[in-house]
Amino acid sequence: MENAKTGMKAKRMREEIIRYTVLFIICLIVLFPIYWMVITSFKTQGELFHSTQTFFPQQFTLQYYLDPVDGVLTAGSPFLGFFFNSMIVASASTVICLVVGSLAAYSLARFEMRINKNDRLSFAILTARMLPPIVVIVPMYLIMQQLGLLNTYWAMLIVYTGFNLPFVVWMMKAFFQEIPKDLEESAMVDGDSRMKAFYKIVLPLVAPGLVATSIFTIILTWNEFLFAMFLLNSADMMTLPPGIATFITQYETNWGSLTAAATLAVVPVVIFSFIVQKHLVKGMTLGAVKG
Amino acid sequence: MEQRQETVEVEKQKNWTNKHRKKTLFSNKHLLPYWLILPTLLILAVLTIFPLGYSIYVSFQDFNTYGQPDGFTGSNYAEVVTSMTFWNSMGVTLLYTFGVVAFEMILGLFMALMVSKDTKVMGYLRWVLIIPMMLSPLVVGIIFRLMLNADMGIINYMLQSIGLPAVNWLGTSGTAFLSIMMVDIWQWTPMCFLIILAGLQSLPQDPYEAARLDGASRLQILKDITLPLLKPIIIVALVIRTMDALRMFDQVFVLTQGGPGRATEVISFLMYRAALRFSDYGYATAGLFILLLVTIVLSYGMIKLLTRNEKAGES
Repeated sequence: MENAKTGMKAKRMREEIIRYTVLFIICLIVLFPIYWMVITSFKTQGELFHSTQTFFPQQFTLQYYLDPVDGVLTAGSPFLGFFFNSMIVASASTVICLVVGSLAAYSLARFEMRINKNDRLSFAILTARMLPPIVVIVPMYLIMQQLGLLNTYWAMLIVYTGFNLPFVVWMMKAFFQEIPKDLEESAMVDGDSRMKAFYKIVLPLVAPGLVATSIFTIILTWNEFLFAMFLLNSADMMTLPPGIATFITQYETNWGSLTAAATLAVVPVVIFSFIVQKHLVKGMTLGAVKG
Repeated sequence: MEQRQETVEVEKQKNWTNKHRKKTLFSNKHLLPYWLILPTLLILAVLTIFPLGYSIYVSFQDFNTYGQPDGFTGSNYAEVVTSMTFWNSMGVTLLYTFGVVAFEMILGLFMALMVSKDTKVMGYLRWVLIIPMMLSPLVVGIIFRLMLNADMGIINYMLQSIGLPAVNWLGTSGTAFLSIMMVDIWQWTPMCFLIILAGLQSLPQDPYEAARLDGASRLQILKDITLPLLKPIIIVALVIRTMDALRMFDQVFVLTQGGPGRATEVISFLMYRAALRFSDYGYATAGLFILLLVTIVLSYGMIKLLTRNEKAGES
């Protein structure tokens, strides 16, 4: 009996060791490419093309970041412009989507509506998100061309608002549904109007959800490439993804600048994702799965 | 004169009723949810339904060489379905989609089972495991372009250091296709992993205790309890990933530009070229519509097939 018990223990121990070894290898596979990008941006040109590759830069250099002529962080570099454009587009479309989408989400989460029987309307909104955006890309391009909006923030703002809105509605709906109804109902019994109860009681409670949703919207917008590629073609209006794509063809072999730009584009995303860790499931799966 | 006065009177009355109605519209409690959702519906109608309708119109338009619409035609669809390049792209897209989705689902399930325990370490591990899916696909493309480089890429360097020959990853058809798949699997397995993990954590515990009492082995538990219970979630993951894989664009753009030859020319890339390089908007839109059709049929088919089994099992 005693023997069997220790045998079991040993077996479990072995299993745990295997489990963590496998997980360690998977983490290595996940992290190595990112690590490789980061250290490549700190290597000198000579080291990069040397016949023996180094896993840590022998001669740590900041030239691709800070070089007075073509460093990516040097004032007036195209990269800073792309970064700035991405920030404007991402934050503006996020604000619009959150304001408009939260109201809709609240409505769907709290009220019985005849048009929303069996959540029909919610699913219709979700379908809008599931449509491959590429199908509407050509008409969008032609429409923007006719409106004279190609190469403007407006075009990006309009397109990204359309994309992100269904996502925001679904995610915020899940967050609203987690807040007990009684809280606002008791406030309404005390004489507050529905909207006042919304501002006073519900909004503060749902604040973490708002933050998580907005970060996901920012990440989605930040990474979007296809539409930006179609709708922006002058370098001073480009967001980060198409901007960095122009680097590829411009300096085919200038891996230092390319990886430096890519590293800087990724840093905010990694930081933001760490902040919303707890809400990851809901965010990335559209709240379709109860996390 | 009298008549005119009468009409004025009627006008007034109309105005009054209008005003009255408006007032009730705004103040009526029952309409509040409709007012809240109206802006969203309007925006979605303008930004989704209208472009979709417009793209149907565009797909039936003949475009001249300057990219100007030149009259109604059905030839775009005919041109698409009779062109070999389109069917080549369709083949590449489907093969690619089935390949990556199968891999990602199995790997994702495997990973989710390994970190399903709720400990602090596991929490951070989960975050690490899903970093790839949050990176811009374009940046991921750049990273792999660097690593797969035939001359100075780290992957060939490692292969050579253990005595294997270097591979011209992006230079030959077969390896280019495999490379694109590899990048997709690296980036999107986390998505399957995350969805399945969420499913695992919401499973009821009772069946497991019963099975443990019966002395069922781990493999039996996985096969007879976990997988059947997970089925709805697996469908969700499967459908989401299939839809995304069918429209993949970014990696091909960065890594191969559809080449070598047309070995990695997925439909979205083919149509991107048709539209932006050759201003062949009608052709591109028609092709993308066929892609949409394939997407709908595939995802609907998957849902139907998998849920029908469920119903049969119940009865």
